[in-house]
Amino acid sequence: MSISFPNLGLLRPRAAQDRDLERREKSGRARQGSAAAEAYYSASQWQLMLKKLSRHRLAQISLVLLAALYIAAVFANFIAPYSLGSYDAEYVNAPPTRIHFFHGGEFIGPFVYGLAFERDPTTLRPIFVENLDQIHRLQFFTTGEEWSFLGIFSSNLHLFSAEGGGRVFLFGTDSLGRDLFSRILLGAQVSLSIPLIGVAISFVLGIVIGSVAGYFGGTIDFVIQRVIEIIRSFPTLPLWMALAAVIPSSIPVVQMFLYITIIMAFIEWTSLARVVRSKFISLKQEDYVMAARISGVGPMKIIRVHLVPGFMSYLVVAMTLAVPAMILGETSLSFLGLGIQAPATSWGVLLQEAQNVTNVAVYPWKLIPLGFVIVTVLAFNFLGDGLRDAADPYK
Amino acid sequence: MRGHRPSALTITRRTTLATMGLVLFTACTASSGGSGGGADVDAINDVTAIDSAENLKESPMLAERVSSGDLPPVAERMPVLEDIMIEPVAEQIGVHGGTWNFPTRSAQEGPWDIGKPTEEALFRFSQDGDTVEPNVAKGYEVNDDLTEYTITLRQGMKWSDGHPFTSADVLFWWEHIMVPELFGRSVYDAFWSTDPETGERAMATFAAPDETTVTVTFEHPRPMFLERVAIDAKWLFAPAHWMETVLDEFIGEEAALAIAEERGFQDLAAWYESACYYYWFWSDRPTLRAWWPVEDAGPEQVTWERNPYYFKTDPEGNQLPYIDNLSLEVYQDPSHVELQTLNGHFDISPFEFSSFTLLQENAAQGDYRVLQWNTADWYSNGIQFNMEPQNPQLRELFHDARFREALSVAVDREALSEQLTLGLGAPQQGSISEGMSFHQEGWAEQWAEYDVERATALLDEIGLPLTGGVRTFADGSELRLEITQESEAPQAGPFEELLKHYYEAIGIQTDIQLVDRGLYGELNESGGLQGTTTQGMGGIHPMLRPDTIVPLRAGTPWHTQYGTWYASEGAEGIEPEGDIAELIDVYRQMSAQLERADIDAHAEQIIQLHQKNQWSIGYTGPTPRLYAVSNNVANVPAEAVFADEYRDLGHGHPAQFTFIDPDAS
Amino acid sequence: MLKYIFRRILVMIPVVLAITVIVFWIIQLPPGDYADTHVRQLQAEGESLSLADQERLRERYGLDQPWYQQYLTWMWGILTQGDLGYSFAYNRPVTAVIDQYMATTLIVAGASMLFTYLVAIPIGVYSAVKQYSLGDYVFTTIGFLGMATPNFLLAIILMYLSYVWFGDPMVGLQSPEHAGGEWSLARVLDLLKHLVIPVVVIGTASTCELIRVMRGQMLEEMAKPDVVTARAKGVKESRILRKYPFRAAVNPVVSTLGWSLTGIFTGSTITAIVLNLPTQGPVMLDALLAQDMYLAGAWLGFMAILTVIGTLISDILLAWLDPRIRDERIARS
Repeated sequence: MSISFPNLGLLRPRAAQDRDLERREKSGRARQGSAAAEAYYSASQWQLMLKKLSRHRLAQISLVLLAALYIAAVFANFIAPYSLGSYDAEYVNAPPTRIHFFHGGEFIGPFVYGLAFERDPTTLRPIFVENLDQIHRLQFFTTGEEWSFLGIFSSNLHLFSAEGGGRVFLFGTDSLGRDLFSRILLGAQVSLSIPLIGVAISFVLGIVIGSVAGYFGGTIDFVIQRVIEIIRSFPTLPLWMALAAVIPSSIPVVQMFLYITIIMAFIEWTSLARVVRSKFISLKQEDYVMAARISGVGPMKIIRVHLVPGFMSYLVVAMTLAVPAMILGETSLSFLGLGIQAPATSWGVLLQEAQNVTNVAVYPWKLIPLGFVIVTVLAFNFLGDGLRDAADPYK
Repeated sequence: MRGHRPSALTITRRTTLATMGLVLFTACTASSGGSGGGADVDAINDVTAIDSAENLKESPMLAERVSSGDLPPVAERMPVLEDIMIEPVAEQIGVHGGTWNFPTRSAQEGPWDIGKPTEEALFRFSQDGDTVEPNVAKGYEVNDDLTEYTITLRQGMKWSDGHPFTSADVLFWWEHIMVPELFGRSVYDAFWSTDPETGERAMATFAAPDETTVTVTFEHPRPMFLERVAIDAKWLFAPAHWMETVLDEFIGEEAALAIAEERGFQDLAAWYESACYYYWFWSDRPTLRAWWPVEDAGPEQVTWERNPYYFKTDPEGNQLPYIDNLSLEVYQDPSHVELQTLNGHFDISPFEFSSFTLLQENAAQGDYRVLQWNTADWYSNGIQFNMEPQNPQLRELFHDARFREALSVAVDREALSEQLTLGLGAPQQGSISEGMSFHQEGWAEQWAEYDVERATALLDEIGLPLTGGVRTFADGSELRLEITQESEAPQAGPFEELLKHYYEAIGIQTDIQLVDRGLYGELNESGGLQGTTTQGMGGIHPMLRPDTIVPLRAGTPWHTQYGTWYASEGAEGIEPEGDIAELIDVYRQMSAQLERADIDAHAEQIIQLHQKNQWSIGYTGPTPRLYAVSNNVANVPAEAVFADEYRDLGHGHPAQFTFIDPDAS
Repeated sequence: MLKYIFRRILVMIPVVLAITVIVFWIIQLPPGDYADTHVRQLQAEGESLSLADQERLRERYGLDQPWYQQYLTWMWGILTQGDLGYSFAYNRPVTAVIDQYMATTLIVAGASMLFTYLVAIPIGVYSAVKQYSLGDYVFTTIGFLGMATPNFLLAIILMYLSYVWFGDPMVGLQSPEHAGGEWSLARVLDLLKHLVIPVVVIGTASTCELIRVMRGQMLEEMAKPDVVTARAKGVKESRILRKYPFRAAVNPVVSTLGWSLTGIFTGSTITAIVLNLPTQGPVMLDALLAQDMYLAGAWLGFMAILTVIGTLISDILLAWLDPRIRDERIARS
């Protein structure tokens, strides 16, 4: 097409030349660098990626954030001052507790006042009045309710609590009087782990099946495409309803959630498989793939080494998008009795609980879990961005 | 701690009511030149008849149509003067006009949202709820042995199209609609009398000696016939002149089918259910209601217009309803109703108690008040055990009163009241509330104390060994209790979760099962449930609505197998024993009583059996139903009982609801 | 190519038939049937139905027959008379029910889909071209904010804030005083005002995915040798974008674009609830929950046909966009 606009062709070169010059200068500088340049050229693909990633500030922040979240989730039982079942009718719908440092103008370290509970006579809103005579200092590394981690070990050590029976609710409480801060941490254990398993399964299935269809084509492709069409048409709702009726209510909740996630993954892989397939069809004609094939490289190796990296950026994007979908997805099943059931919790459950006008208007602290979901999702995304850039061989 | 809390709660409730009373009072005095206040209203309502036709006044909207010759004058549209029904007003004489913005679900989902408030029954429950009073009918007489009821209609009363309403319309409904079971319901209980000797049932016969008289004759005495009619067969009449143009009996099957198809139905059964049962959505079907739709039910918004031939006036002769139009707005989600109410858009909107704080906090800005109507429920949070579960060991436990007591005292009701009901539902046993008929002294306190030691002792006594914090059956086999809840139920989840918490604290392992509506229904009918928190107990009188209290048919979880047994006359289900069999016996005897006092005595016996056995356990007392009512609307009773028998909001007599300033509506 | 399309269309028939059988089987799989749900619904409304009446209901709806018999009767009706069956819940023919909601569904869904593509693709390209600019970060953050928030919760929050700040929760498409009135400047402004919340909700709910995919693809393609070459040859930047990376970048979008056909109908549910508009989404959800067999079956069958057609359209589009895929097709057929 460019031939039909010869004028443009005549006008452009100078600018392009300038840019080329610039680029050559830059790479020249890099080459002159020092010994580092030597290392750069001899580095393996992974070392390169790591190096590039370390230059990506946002990705680093995200990585730190995610690491913090995961550490908090692992040690949730230790950090959380209360357990999942710590109902308390004296503190229903309590707003976040204020942490004080000064009492009567005097610094005495972090502490909370005792709270007296009453209801507004007209609106019945719970009101908590600080009792200035009751001072509960915050203590660190205290003993409290016993907890166990995956049944491996148990302890009753907690990061902090208020001495003398004082209550400290960093994020307030829900309608049953449970500490929201503890619930967010304990919910993270579910929300930060199981969705990833689901994402992993659907990705493995999607990539394998999609690449087989795309690479081999022909009858295999045809059959796979029809199977995908059938799976796509599955009415999932009655399927869940039937499952809900079959699965006994006595199986452990987390186990049930895991099953559901796996089943969800078995349906979710189809759209990824479609994309992988069509990408493959276009990529496999590329010269470097041809070259590999001619030199006798096996199809699986071609797929693995030459084709999959070719659409890494799509995979990374798809993966960062799948995470929030999976974190929230489980709530859509909870109304069928599937998904996380009380007293276990997850972020999705917490958001579901917050989802009505009363909570938004009267008890807005119940929206705090939303912040955690958003931060997590953004962190995954920016980390994904960083990884994508790092994996990009053209950069 | 426990000592002071209940009193604090009572104060809370009373202050709430007082505050609201105040709001109401201000609203009234501000508007209507001093017609608020009890004594004044009684004086206004102290009218027995409209003296002359000149005293009849109509809405300006209709007056216009009269002067343009479109409508006959108001005196000709209404029944003869002495037969006009005078509806007492709740607070003040109203003003004609205005549009009532009315939130509703779609016609398929919630046909009764508009059906109940606009209903005109032949007989309706009186405001105190104790008896029935004539509504569409003018009066009745009954012979001494309760076998012949003579119902008088109002002379000169007309359908909304101006066609006379006569005894022929009643007879038509009976002969051509009820007896052929046109709308998919068997001939109602109301129309059967039972032979006290053999227990055989005989159907009533109807006759219409003249235009305003209908006689209903039974072979055997039929006590409380009119009450049953007020519940079962609210509309014992149909516009014969219109029905004759659509029923296949009169126009032939082909033509009838064509009409059905034209209206979007495929067969006559479906069309007849719509035309004879959920009939109020058809704009062309004449009605006796205060409003009727100007267009057929649509998916979004429908306007209902006043019925120019409506048969009631207020004590001053103003033809009712006061309000000219209803604007039915279909909502997709309850949060829309909440937000639009806060915004002052809906004039009267119903809410669950859980919206209480939100509504109250925004009442001033939205310019509305929140009314609390009590219900006839026995509890707001409670559990029923299917007395015939599939597991024989569980069956034995459920039948053991000690087990039920243990599960009852194992739960801290005061905590539940705060956690689940904003403190509105009193921490008490499932029982009949104070102020309702058959209230039993001391029942509310039965097994209501939070006493884990007692629970533990009871379970030990039954012989459920405790090992490692978990109880098993005496033979060492696993003991697990499954609590089933319908997931569509509002607030499903937290209560069941707390029950699990408390039950497991005394060693009873508990599983929670949330299921969809269809599965729940199937489990319930087939007796597959163990414990359930889904359905409640209650009703205003065991004679009128025995469903939840006496096992007469399947549907109520605790007795569903016995109900099946009774309904199938022993062919299916399980025969009850002991006190449950006694319940049925007493009910049968009650049905044969002729005197109201004897009936009530038997009813009392039934209630006492319930108190003795406590087949269902209530943990928090009933919570009120809320109505957010615009301060521009008057005459909505501040206190009333919300019950299906009373037709919910219909019990407040919406025809006399009025705008204080219709132009601002 | 034509031969290929023809062959695909032929294969569609057995695939769709197979899907309808599976779908029908799955719908009736959960325990209980429509009659159970209906009876519960009546109970909840204070009505009751005797056992005999329930049995009559089952008989009338043919629920007493085994599912395959119900399926065959239904299929026979469709094939011989084009009769999609009967909705128990609505007491109406399925076609009438679908018809009632079709117009709003199409409008709402079509508009939101168009909106999604029109907004997402340019933003995706922009974010890629101006990678790591302020705009890129803003779009990313807003997008994920919407994605991480359950749509309905977001709608409630926005409506409540609108109520608190402007004294109007902006429910529905029109203020009551304008509904059904004359079109005037005031009414148009009112409509626009009411559109803000739905646009934000839909915009953040469905555009994020597309924006991210487009951006990622563009970034990858823009660094490829063909672009570098074009640039070196001095081709105008906007032309380069359109000609090379854009074409390749839309590949993943297009390969599932066909499936958006079904998304049109199912994806509009949330939008409809936010707008308080009656559309198919909630109706179908209820039909599935209540096991309103023929309504749900007809609907899912329709969806299956759209899925299959969608796949075909995607394949054709892909071939048209990418000559390499096209060559392969021709070579094979």
